Amino acid sequence: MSETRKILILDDEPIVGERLKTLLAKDGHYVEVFTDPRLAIQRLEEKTFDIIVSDIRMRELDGIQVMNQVFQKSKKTKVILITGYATLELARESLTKGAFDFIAKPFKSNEIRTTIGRALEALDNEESPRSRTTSM
Amino acid sequence: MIKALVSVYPDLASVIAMNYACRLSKMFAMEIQPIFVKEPEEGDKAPAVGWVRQTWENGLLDVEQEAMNKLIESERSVYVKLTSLQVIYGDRDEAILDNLLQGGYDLFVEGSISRFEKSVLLQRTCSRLYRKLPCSVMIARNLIDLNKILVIIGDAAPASTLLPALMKLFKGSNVRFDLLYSKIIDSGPLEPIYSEPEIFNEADEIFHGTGWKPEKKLALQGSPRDLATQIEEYSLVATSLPSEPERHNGLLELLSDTPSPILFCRQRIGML
Amino acid sequence: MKILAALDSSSQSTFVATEVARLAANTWADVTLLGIEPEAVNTDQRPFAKGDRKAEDHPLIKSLRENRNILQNYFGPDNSPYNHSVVTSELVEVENGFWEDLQVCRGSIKQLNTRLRTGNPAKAVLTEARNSQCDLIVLGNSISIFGGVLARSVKKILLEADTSVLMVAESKNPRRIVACLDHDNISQPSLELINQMVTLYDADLEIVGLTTQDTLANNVDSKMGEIIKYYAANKIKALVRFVEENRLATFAAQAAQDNLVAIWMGKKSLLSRIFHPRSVEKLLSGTESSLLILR
Repeated sequence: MSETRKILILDDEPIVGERLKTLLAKDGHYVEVFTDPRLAIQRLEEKTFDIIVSDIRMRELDGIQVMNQVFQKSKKTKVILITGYATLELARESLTKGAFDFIAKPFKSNEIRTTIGRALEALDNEESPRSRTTSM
Repeated sequence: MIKALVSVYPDLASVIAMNYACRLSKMFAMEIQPIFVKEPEEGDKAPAVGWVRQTWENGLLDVEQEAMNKLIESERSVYVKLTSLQVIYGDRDEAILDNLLQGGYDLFVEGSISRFEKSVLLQRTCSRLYRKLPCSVMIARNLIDLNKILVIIGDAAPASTLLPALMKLFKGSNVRFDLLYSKIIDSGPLEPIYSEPEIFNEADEIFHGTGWKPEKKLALQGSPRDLATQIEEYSLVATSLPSEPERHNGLLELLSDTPSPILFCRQRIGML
Repeated sequence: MKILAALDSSSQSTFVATEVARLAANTWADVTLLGIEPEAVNTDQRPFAKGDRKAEDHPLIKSLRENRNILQNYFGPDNSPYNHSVVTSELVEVENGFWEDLQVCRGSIKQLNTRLRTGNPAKAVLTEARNSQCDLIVLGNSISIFGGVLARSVKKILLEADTSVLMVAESKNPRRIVACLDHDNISQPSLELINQMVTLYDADLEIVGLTTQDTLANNVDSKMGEIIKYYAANKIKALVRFVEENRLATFAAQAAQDNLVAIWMGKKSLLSRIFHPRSVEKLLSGTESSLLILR
């Protein structure tokens, strides 16, 4: 699908958002970056995004709480959780609660690009059931 | 209320010292006075005397003072009992000593980052300031939450002077602590000393009726490095300042190897 | 995160696989297990041929499969991100107007690849690391894997890899991660890797600052201040220690006895000048613990 996808990136380390924004904007996506989870939540109230990439450990609000808020508004949005302090329990909790993927830092740009590609494919499949590959 | 003088300088050690002192003030009532002593550098030759000199000195101080005011303001937002920065131009140790003596302080706090080179702590404890200190001194080395103190007692750290000074500082704080009697050897395995040292009975007598009681009493023998490893989980190590530190002082070697802040307890002169 | 585990057929490689499994269990990383078969003297003697059933009996292949099982079994039957247990039907349009209903076995969230390379072991690992764009190479330390194919290549891999390298020691949990950083140029991925190690081993962190004649560079003070306040806010016990530049190699060798020493050796690193190959050799020969080279 060629339509521009809307992606929100949330990480309290500014460098992570900046890096991802450059990369994803180059791929033709519309990207907004936040370092404060409360501001991100406010923005999510106003606008629906296709994909959220969020850090898990943040000071005011954690990424899993952000994901819960996202799902209250839109069940279709794909949430990719990233973390610098990964544990098995956190990975399980993330996926059980509906995250599309769980990525531990550090990661290369291609890894996040591939994951976003998979999330977009999943969105395409959900939105147009007559596409080339359909789950039965 | 405990009166503490905290030495600051625009460096990492001072960030740690200020933050640590402020954390302590959450445990017991403490008034914190930060002090910055600007020492004349080699090239700093005062251009004149009187008001000209004073203006020149003030100009030199402005830049650093601004940096330290920022540091103090960031702490003041959380810890309110922090008075304004006192700025002095002169010899650092002399100025601090004067202030400690005249200001009736109970505690002097300074930052000193742990070093691989053990001689640094020894040099500091040999300094004129440390030899003449009229009160206890806290060397803040890392930002560690104060959970439990290790009190090292022994021949060089007599219970009779160390423990009352410690109890005065931490009065009303409900701080948890263990007692350690250590025999420091050059080499050999770390092992317990089985016969209970007499100094533990002396400590019990001092604690009697005060509500103070160690959670554990440890008696260990080992090299400075092994002992340091054994005690590194404590968030503060309290002991006495060696009166005449020798070149090879086992206790100072041990303390050099621990990452925890160090408290050298001394009863305030005039309060004995 | 992408991890490349360098393995050979020696029995010691199983502990490397176990350590990779631990790391993978925390991070749910994409993992490549790379088996190395050293260069054959006679080029006609290719160790594996296409369709060769005897290859199944090759010690390296057996060992790699064992190691893959270690990794898969580490998670338990239902929790592995590498399991291909979900069988689904997918309707695929083969050509215009022609469809096929395929039963496919997907469902793995993360990739677990098992690959083999022949040739010079160090070269093989470095090539695979570059091609796979991994974030971390894991291999056994030269004492633990003594006698194995990779033992003599450890130093070259540590020094020449473009990415971070974790050299793991057998069954030793570090008490502390001692991070020797060059605070001017430390890369974000390196800091992130340190955080993952602190979490994995539930260890304290000690940040080592370099001094020259007792003085820190001006901006290092403020940078380290930011770093320790960051860790304090994140409830991670981060200690600071200063070491004179000319004593760093000695300090690291001593610290490596009980701790995981992490050394930032990126292209712009001051430490790569201090840790010249001979110092690294000294560090490798003296340590039975793990070592992390950050890039």
